[in-house]
This record gives sequence, C-alpha cells and structure tokens, in this order.
Amino acid sequence: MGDYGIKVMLPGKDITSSEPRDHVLSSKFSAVKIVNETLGTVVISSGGTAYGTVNHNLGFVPLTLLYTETTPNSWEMGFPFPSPAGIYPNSNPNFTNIGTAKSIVAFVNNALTTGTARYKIYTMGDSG
Amino acid sequence: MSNIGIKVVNAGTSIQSNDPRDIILSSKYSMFKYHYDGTISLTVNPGDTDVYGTVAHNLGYIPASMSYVSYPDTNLQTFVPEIPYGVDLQRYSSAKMGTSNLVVGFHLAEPYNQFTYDINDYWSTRRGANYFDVGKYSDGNTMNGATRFTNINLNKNESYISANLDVLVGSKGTASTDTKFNFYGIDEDNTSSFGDPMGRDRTTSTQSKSQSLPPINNYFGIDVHNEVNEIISRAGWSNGNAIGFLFFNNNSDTGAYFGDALVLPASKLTITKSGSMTITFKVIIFKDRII
Repeated sequence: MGDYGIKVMLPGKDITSSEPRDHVLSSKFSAVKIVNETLGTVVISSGGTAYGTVNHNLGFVPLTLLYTETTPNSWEMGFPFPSPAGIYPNSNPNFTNIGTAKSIVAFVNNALTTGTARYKIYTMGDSG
Repeated sequence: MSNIGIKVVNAGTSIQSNDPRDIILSSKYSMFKYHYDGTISLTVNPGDTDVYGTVAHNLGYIPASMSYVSYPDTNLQTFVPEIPYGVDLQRYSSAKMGTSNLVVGFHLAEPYNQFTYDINDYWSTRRGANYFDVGKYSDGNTMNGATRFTNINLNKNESYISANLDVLVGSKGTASTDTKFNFYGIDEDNTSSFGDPMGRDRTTSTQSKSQSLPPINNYFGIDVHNEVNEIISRAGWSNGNAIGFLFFNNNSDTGAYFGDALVLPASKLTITKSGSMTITFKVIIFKDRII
C-alpha cells in the first residue's frame, strides 16, 4: 500500500493480495456502515394501511436494508410476494420510500381483522 | 471523538468530519459481519409448484441476511424475494429467516412442465355440438360423446410422464349404479372441429370403464397415456395438432349418465412432461440480529 492505512486479511490469505474477497477489512475499501437500526411494529386495521418511519436526518438518501415480518417469527428481506388475504409491505414508491430525512415503509392489510407487522430498517452511512 | 476507537476517513476529508459518507470505517458505526456465505441449489421436478431448501445458521436469533437467485434460462442474479413481473405470477423466489434456519423457496403458479388444456370441442349424440353426454338417459336412450383439445405441445413420439383426462361431471342421472362406457382416442393426425365425430377412426388402445360418478361439478380422471401415445406416433402428427377422445355407452343402467356443456370450467387434458430444472441461490447470513 502506498498510503498509510489498515488492512486485515482472512486466514491463509496473502497480505499483499489485492482481491477484495481476501480482506476482512481495509481502509482502501469503504465499509458499509450501519448508522441506525430501527425495529418497529405497526398495527393495521382490516383493509387499511399503516406506516413505519425512521427519521434518519442524514441529509442524503442512504443505502437502506428493509426486513419485514408479516408471519410471526418469519422474516423476509425487502418486499415478499403480496399476500392477497393477509398483510404485506407495499412496494409502491408513493407509500414506501427513502428520503433525505426519513425512510417510510407501508403495510397493507387485506385480512378481515386487524393485524400487526414488524419491520427492521438498517440505515447505512452511505448514499443509496 | 471523545472515546477511544478507530476512525479512517477518505483521502482529502477531515478526520473531524461527521458526515458518514466521508468515513471509510469507524468504531462508532457497526458493520455487518459475515456468518455464512454459500450457495444452495433446488431441483424443480415435473409437477412441482413449491420447492424449498434450508440453510442452517443455528444462531438462536433471527439474523440479517441477503439472498440472490439465478435461473437456468438467464445468466443474471436477482434479489430475493422477487415479485414476478406484472399482475399474473409465473414464478418467484422467497427467502424466509427464522431463529435456526433460512428457508429459500421457488414458487410456480402452474406445476412445472405440466400443461393443461381446456376443452375445445364437445359432442353429444343426444344434444349435438357444445354438449357432452355419456350413458343411458332417463328415457332409456343411449348417449355417446366426444371431447377435443387443440394445440397439444407434444412432438412426434415424444416421451413424457403422464397424460390425464379430467372429465367434469356438469350433470348426471339419478341412478345409483356406475356409468359404463368404452373409451378411445380419435386415431387421426389432427382431428378437426366437431360435427358428429363418433364415426372417426379409433385408436387400438381402448378402455372399458365402470365409473362411479362424483358430485356434480367435480371431476373423475382417465389415464389416457396409451391413447395419446398412439396418436402422437402417427406419421402425420406434429406439435400443435389436436387430439380427441370418444366415449361409447356400454350397457349403463337407465339414469346412469354424466354430461357437461362447453362452458368453462369444463373437462381438461393435463400432460406432464419430463425434465427438471435447477435453481441456485446465493445466501449470505450476517451475525447481526434483526431481533
């Protein structure tokens, strides 16, 4: 490395390797940093929509990971296939979106009774 | 930083910057930590609609993860879960995380390599075109019938797994005894639309059936593998041709009969072809917990 920095390799990998997959971490490669983790629960009336919000206030649109639980103890990343008879996250960007100050996830409830859903949003310190 | 830690910033950026985008790494911000990075392949066999595979992580909590899927007909990886394009689902993949396992799944709207054909023609010797009657009517008259299906996706002499004719009982008689009939394929290269097809050539393969009828609007099945094989082995058969079947009453009791009309749902022909598909998932599980 011509510059000063930090470099940590996987066991058995050469310190001089330039293959990114050989690295545990390196100051040469910016890491995806988790600046916020939010676990939330929404209650959605039958036929209704409910929203979960993360006020990150980063001033830019961050890289974001969304996980949702619409079936108890079963989590999926992003937007699973909509459940015609149950609860699902709404991928329509008019309802679920990431902004420069906050991220919003919308849940739709097509069941006949009020239900709940949980979400986990990881907000990264990197532009999305 | 008031606490002891590590902070590395991008070249040309102040070490005192609080903008996360200026920071390469910092002990102030957690990073995802790999727990598992591997692939899992699922085999989709003829007739399958949902296929699953399990990746054990045994973390005791629900971890963050990322999954990708690639299909044999593309060289591209796509995110999981995926929502099929448009309103009509054809296929989609899923990945569900639990406290011990991550379960990947592949889902089809229709069974894999299974082709279902809706009825195209009915014939009844009692009611004529667009109707279907087999047995002995309440007035004692014999009824014979025929069915026809078009655009059959089978090559000449193609080997396949199964061919089943599901006959819809749209109406039936009051007799408690079975409806008895002899069954044939129509032995023609590409049997034409019906105008009394009962005199058309018949396959050598035949079946004598004594059929207990289900409740109205339910189906009973006939294995038509032999009849279909005989038809698609004809010199003049080609993919996309039509196939038909003939039903002749065989001493049914008076009032033992079934019938239908050419309104969907109606009788259908289902052919299951051989050949499997391999779906490959790339799964990354982090040590970081969702909950």
